[in-house]
Amino acid sequence: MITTATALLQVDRLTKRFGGLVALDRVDLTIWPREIFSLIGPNGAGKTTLFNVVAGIHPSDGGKVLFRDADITWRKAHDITALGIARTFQNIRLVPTMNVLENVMLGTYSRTKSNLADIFFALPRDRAERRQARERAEELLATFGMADRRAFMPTKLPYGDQRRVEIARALASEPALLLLDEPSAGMNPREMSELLDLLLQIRETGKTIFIIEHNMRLVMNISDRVAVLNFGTKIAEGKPAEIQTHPRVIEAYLGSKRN
Amino acid sequence: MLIFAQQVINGLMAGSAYSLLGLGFTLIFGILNVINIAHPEVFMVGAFLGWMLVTYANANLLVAIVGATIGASIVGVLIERIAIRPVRSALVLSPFISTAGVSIFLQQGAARVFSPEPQPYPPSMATVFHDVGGLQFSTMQVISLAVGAALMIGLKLFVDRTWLGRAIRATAMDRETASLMGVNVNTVVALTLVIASALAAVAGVLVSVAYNSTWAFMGITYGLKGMAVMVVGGVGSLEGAMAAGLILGVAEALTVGYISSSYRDGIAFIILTFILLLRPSGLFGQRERQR
Amino acid sequence: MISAYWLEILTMAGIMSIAALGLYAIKATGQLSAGHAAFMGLGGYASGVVTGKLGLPFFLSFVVAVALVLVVATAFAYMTSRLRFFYQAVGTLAFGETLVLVMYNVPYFGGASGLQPIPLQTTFTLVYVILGLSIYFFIRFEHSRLGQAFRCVWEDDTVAASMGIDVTKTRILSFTMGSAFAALAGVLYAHFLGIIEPKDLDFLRSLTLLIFVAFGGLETHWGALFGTYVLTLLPEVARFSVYDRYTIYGALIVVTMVFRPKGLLTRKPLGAPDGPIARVGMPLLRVLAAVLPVGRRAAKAKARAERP
Repeated sequence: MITTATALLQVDRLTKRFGGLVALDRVDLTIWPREIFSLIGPNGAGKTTLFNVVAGIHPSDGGKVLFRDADITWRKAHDITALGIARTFQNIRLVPTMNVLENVMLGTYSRTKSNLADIFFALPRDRAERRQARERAEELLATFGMADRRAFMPTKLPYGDQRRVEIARALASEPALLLLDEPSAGMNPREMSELLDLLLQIRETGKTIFIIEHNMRLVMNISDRVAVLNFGTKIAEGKPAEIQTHPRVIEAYLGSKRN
Repeated sequence: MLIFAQQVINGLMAGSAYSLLGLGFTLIFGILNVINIAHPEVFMVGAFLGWMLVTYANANLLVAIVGATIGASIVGVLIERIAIRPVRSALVLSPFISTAGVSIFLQQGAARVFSPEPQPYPPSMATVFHDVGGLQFSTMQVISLAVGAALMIGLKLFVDRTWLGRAIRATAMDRETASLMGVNVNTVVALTLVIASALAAVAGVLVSVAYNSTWAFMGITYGLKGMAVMVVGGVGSLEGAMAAGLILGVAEALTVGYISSSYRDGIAFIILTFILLLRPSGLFGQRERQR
Repeated sequence: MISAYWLEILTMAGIMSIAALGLYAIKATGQLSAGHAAFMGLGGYASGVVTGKLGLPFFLSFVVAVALVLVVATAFAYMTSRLRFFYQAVGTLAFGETLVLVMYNVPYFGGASGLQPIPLQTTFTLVYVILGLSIYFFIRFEHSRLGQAFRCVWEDDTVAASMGIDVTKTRILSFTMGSAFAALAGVLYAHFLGIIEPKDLDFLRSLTLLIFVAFGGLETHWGALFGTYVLTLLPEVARFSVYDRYTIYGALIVVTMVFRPKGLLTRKPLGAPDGPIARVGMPLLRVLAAVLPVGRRAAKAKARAERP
C-alpha cells in the first residue's frame, strides 16, 4: 500500500495531560496517503484525545503533529480543516436546527470565499459558490443513498443515517485525510456492512482514512494497518493479522475488557 | 476627614441594600443558571406590601418587614413556577425574556394599582436624624445596616453550616448529582427562591422607608445595580456579593461627596466594566469555582 | 389614506425593525447584546452632532454614524470575545449604561435634556427604503455560507471550528454587523424625533428590542420583524388605559415564551415547504394546541408514546 515516500500525517512523541492524568504519552504514528489506518484500544485509552489534538481542538502538551511535512501542532482547528483534515464526532454532532442538506453544505465552508458584499449584491462569486456547494452536497448525499432524505431534520433520522450525514459533511470540505471517530457505534449489522462498503468507496476517491473503532470485524476487514493505544501509550502497530495475535494487545483487551 | 467618614457611613448603609439584591441574583443564578430579570420586582412588591401594611393597617416596621417577606416569597416562588421552570430547558435567552415579561407585568400592574407616582409613608414613619461627633445618621440608616449585616451573616451561616444549606450548595454545583444523592431539587429551588425573595423584600421595605418613597419603578435602578453586584462579586459567590454591594455603596457615596451626584448611578457600571476586563470571574469568583 | 398618527407609528415601527434585525444578526451566532440600544443611540448622537451641531448634510451623518459604530463595535467585540454568553451580556449592559452616563454628563451632548435640535429629515419613505434593503440583505444572507456559519457557531462552536469556521472572527463579524444596523436605526430615530436623549440608550430600551426579537422568533429574521410590528402596534390597537395595555403586554410575553420558547415564527430550512401556512399558520396552530385543553391532552399522549 505504501507507494509514496512522504507520509500524510506524522504524530511525533505527542503528549497530552489533563491535570494529573496523562491522556497521551509520547505517541508516535505515521499515516501514509490512501491507506485506511485504524486506532483501537480499550475505553479511556486516549483515542479521541489524539483526534482532538490532531484536529486542533486541544492544545498539545508536548510533541508535534505534521501534515504533509508541515507542522500543524499549534494551528487553530479551523485552519487545520482548511488544510485538508476533516473529522466526525464520537457522539454525532449534527446541527439540530439545520436539515440534512444544510448540514452537508456546511462542510463546504472552508472551500468557499464569498464575503458580505458578494452575498448582498448577489455577485457572481456568491452565486457560483452557492450552486457548487449545493451540487456538491446533493452529489454526496446521492452517493450515500440519502438524496431522498435531504430535507429531513437530523434528529428525525435513524442512527446509521445520522452517521452517514456526518461523514458526508466531513467529505464536503474536500479533505485529504478523514478522521472518523467510532463511525459504527450504534449501527446494526446491515448498516455496518454498508458502512464498510462506503469507507472502501471513499478510499477509492483518493482519500486517506484514519479511524477510531471498537468493532473488530470492521477493523480487521478494512484496515491496512492498525495501532493499539492503552493508557495513553501505543503498545502495538502493524497489519491487522499481526495485531490479532500480538501478546500485549491480547493482554490489554483481556485485562480490561472482554471482546 | 469628617466628610469622608460621613460618606463611608452613608455608603455602607445604602450598600447593604445592593448586597441583599445581589445575593438574591447570585443565589438564583447559582441554582437555576438563569438571570431572573423579575427579581428586582420582588424587591418592589416587598416595598409595596410593607407600605400597605404601614399605611392601611398602621403596622410597625417589624410587622411590615415580616409581612412583606412572606408576600414577596410567594411571589418569588410563583415567578419560578410560571416563568422560569417551563422555559428553563429551552434556550438561554428564553427565561431571560420570560422573566422580563414578568417584570413588565409587575411594574405596570403596580403603576396601575398604586399610580405611577412615588408613594410617601405616613408621618409616623418619618426618619429621625442623630448627630454623633459631627456625623449625621438617621435611625433608619442604622436599622438598615444592622438588619442587612444580620441577614448576610445569617445567610452565610445557614448555607455553610446547615443541612439545607449544604443541599443548596450541592444543587448549585451539580443539579443532577445532587438529585441522585437524595436532595429534593424542587424543594431546594423553592427554598432558594424564598430566601432570595425574602432578602429582596427586606431591602425593599428598608429602602422605601429610608427614602420615604415607594415606587412602581423602583426595581429598575436597584435591579441593574444588583446584577452588577453579582458579577463584580463573582457569580455564585455569597461573600463576593456582600462585599461588592458594600463597595458599590461606598463608591457611590464618595462619588456624590467628592465628584458630582450626577455620576452616582453610573459608578456601578464603571466598576463592572473594569472587573469584566481585568478579572471576569469577579472579586471572589476563583475561589468559588474550586470549591 | 393613512392618518398622520398611524404614519408616525408605522415609521417608528420601521425604525425599530431595523434595530431589531441588527439584534437578530448578533443573536444569530448565539450572542446576547443587552446594550443594543446603546449602539443605536451612539449612532443617533453621532448623526445628531453632524447635522444638528455642525450643520452638515444628512447623508453624511449616516456615513459618520455607521463608521463610528463599526469601529466601536469591532473594538468592543474584540475585547469581549473571550467572554462567554452571560458575561458578554453583562459586558454589553455595562457598556450601555456607561454610555448613558457619558451622555448625561457631557454638556456638549445636551446632558439630561438630550441632544437637540436635530433637523427632522427622516421620512416614512426613507425608513421603508432602508428597511426594505435590510430585509433583502437578510434574505440573501440566510442561506449564504456566512449565514449558515453563524447558525453553526450558535449551535455548536466545536463543530463550527471543525467545519473550518473561525469562531472568534465570526462572532466579531456578527456583533459588528448587528451594531451597524443599530447605527442606521439610530440615525433615522434621531432625525425622526428631532432629539436624542440619554434614556434612549439605556438597558430598558435594549431589553425592549430583545423582547421584540425573542417574541417574534429567534431562528429567523422574519421573527425580528414580526415581533417588532406585533408588539409596537398591539398597544396602539388595544383600547385600554396605558398601564392595562402594558400589563397585558408583559403577560403576553410570558405566555409566548412558556409555550413557544423560541418565539412565534420558525425557520424554513433549504428545500422545505414554504408559504404563509408553513410560516405563520402552523406556529399559531401550535400555540393554540398548547393553550387549548384538547391540544394539551394530545401533546401529553404523544409524550407518553415517545417515552422509551
